[in-house]
Amino acid sequence: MSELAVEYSAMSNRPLFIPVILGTVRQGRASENVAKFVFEQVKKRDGVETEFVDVRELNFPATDAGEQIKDPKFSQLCERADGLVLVVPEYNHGYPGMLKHVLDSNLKEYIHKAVGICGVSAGGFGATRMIENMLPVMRELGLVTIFWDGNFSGAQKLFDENGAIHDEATHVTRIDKFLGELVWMSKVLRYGRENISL
Amino acid sequence: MSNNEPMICSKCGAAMNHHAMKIDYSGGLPGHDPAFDGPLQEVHTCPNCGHTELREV
Repeated sequence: MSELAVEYSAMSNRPLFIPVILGTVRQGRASENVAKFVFEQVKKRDGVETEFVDVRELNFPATDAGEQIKDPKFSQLCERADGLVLVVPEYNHGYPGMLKHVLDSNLKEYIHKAVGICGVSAGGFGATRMIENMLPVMRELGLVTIFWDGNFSGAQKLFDENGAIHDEATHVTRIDKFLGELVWMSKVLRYGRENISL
Repeated sequence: MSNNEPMICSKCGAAMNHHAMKIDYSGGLPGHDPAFDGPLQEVHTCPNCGHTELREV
C-alpha cells in the first residue's frame, strides 16, 4: 500500500481542463456561434486545455435515463475536467431537456468542480431566467457555480454571415471576466479535491 | 461509519483524497442509516492523476 501523505502536497501540475459544452440539439441553433466564440476565448487562456462538446453529436438514447446511459467518452471527459463551460439557450424560460438528459448521465465526475454558464437568448435578457433555473441543478450535481455569467442577447443578430460576432471587444471583455473567475474556482477546487480531506 | 483506510487509485496506485460525501439515490444496498434517503458514498480524488472513485460508507 502506498504511504499516506501527511502534508499538503502542491497541486498537481497538469494543465487545467475546461471543456465547452454546447447544450442544444436544435437545428439552426443560434447558440452554436456563441459556443464557438466562447471556445476560442477559452483556448487563448494560458495553462488551460479545452475541448468542444456538442450534445447533438453525443447521440444519447431517449429510452432510458441517468447513469444507466453513461457514455464512456463523455464521462471520461467530465472526470478529466476541472471546470465546465455550459453554453445554453433559454427555451420557454428554461434549459433544454436534452442538456439535462446528458448531464444526468454522470454524477461523481462533477463533485467539487467549477461550472460557468453562458446563456443565449433571442430576446434582451441574455437567458438570465434559464441560468437561474439551472443553478439548483448544478448544486445537486455537486458542481460549484461562479458568480459571473455569460449573457448573449439577441442571438439571431449577434453574428455576421461569416459567424463573426458584432462588437467583439465588448464580448471579449465580458467573457474575460467570466473565464477569470472560472479558472480561479477551477484551481481552488482542484487543490481541494486533491488535498483537503473531509 | 467511514472507513479510515485511504483508497488507492486504481489507475496509478497513489493514495486518494476523500473530499466529499454524497447520498446515492440510485437504489443501492439496503441497511443504510435511516437518517438519509439512501446509502452514503465517499468521493475520493487522486492527487496524482485526478481520477475519481466512490466508496460506499
